[in-house]
Amino acid sequence: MTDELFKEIYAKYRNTVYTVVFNYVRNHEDASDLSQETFIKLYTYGEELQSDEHIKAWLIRVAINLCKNHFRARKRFSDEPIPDDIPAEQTDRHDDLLPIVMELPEKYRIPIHLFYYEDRTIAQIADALDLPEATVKTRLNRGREKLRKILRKEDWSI
Amino acid sequence: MKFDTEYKKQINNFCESINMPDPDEMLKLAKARAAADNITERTEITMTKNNRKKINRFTVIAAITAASLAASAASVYAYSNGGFSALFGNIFHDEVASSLVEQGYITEHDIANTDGIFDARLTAVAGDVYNPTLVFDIRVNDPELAAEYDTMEIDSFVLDEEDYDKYKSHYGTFSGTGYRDEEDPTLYHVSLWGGWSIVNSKRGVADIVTIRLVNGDDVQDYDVDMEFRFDIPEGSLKNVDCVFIDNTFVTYKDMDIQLGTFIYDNYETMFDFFFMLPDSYFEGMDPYSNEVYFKLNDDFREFADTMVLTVDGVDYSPKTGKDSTNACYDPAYLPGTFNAHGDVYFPAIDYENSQNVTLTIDGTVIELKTDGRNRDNNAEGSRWYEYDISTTFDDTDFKVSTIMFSTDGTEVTFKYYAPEKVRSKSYEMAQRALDAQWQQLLSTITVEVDGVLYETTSTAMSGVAYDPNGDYGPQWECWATAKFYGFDCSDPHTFILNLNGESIIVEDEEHGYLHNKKYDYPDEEEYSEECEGVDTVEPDAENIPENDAADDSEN
Repeated sequence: MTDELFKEIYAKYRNTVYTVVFNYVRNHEDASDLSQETFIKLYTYGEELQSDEHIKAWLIRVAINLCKNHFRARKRFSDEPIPDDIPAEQTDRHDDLLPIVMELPEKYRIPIHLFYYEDRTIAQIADALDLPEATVKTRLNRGREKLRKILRKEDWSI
Repeated sequence: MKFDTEYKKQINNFCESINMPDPDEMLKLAKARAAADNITERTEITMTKNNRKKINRFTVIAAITAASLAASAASVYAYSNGGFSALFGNIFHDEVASSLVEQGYITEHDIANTDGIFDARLTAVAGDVYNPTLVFDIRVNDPELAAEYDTMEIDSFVLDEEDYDKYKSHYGTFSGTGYRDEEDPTLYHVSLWGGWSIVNSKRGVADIVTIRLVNGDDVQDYDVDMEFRFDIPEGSLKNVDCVFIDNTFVTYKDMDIQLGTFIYDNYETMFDFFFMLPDSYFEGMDPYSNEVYFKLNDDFREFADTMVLTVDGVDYSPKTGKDSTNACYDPAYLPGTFNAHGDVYFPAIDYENSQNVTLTIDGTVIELKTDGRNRDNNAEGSRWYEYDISTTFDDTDFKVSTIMFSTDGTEVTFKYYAPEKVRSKSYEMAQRALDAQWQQLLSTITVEVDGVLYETTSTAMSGVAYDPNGDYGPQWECWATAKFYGFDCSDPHTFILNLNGESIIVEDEEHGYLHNKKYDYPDEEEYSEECEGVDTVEPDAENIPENDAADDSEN
């Protein structure tokens, strides 16, 4: 990979990787470390990635695996209380979506994030999370149900 | 306010507030790490244009051959609470299955599997051919673990054995729900709906891949691999009938929509629709994005809400649950010709014993049954003839099998053998290749009737039927139909078929019927006998229902 291409990929997908990781770890310090680790793995990756889509899927999958290893190594869980890193400046809590999503259990918030922010299909999410598609559908549905309970129903279409 | 739009906006704002390394800094970090790790091997990563086309050609299921309705003689497993019928009725709250079991549509099995944490046993398969229900007994071997949860769910493949062995990766899983046995807290009775996956099968496979223990919000998934292969005796599942509805189009919000198949089973009534989306439909959107899918779903639900099914004066509205209608957007299927389909579900009706059945769509009334007679898809006076016309296209010899003439238009049906180059492909890949080839040939076909040129009105319903196993005729045979509707073609003075660059005079005043093999289509009575009770009017491969149940199964 040329340096220029690496920089191009990084510029294009750094937000993708960072937000996926942040959804897991929910703090900037770990999110920053794990995001950088993901791109370092890309730089040193020994196989050919054929397309934009392939690169994006690869980055998401690697980021997720790093997060899982991170929690295993530290014997921590991503469902610990939310740290202060989550922005919640807006006065109306019901319109402040990021902390609301972050309050969801990990198994719901990761599919919700990948589906709504990254426009990943259910099949792609299943592939990234190494889960059956039916499980992803179930988690998306349950995640949506939980969001609907928190958000003002009349204002939001999920 | 749309959640996805606002969520994206807030996440983007969030990202802008973070001090991430810029690309040059990140490159330095990566290089430093590579040097530290002494990694020198790197291969090229190419940034080719992303091809996200995801062709998910629906599996063509051949018309339901008439299975004997005689109930199987299988014995009913004797549960302590009164047998399978009570199990369905009392535990699964499935009165339809309970009734079918009482009628004898059940086969008992005793096939065990284990993964250590769970012992599972397939005990029965019951129901009708479109709604086979598999019953498992699954035991949680750790009583303490069992005590923490009150509900069990499973995800499982359910497939015809050959499909499972060859094409498992092409299919999705179904989900089933289990309930704790009243007397044994470690034992769950699990009911799994198998969709249309084992229609016409003699042997099926269930492969449980996930067992999920649930207690409110506490959900624990266990990945398992439990395979069950089971026989499906002929007649052990109740037959289901369908009516193929030809030549019925409606327009809604600039979408041309064709009504395809009408299926009435013991659980519900389903109408299948095919959409022709105009290019303008995608304005301002990436045609491959979820945005199109959401828009289509919204439009289709609105479209469904315009419908009323009337049976002997009683009106039925579409089911209103969130899964009662769906629109499957299939962007890769040759955009511009056809690119979506959807189903609308109504409650189950007694179609067989009804006299008059109509479906009203946005004010347009479609008669399905009148005075006890099924809809006649073919106008009065229609006739079919066989011809000896052929053309070679893309190394394939296409032969015109029949041409139908009616007051509504004409149909030209081709039969041919799949070219060698697709025969080694999987069914799905071969189907894709054949569809693409057919669509190319179809674009060359027009008919000239009494001096007026007509282009095809075919949609995806003109896709290719492909028989790689010789189940319905010679092995590798394909058939496809070009349809031309909207004009009287019952008795043309001249009929010219323009095909692959040639103009073929099929009929004219001077020469009469040319190329005609003088074949008269069998009359309705003979044909009914040939079809052994299948409630249709012609062996038109395009009208075969498509199997998308696995893809769309919602939990």
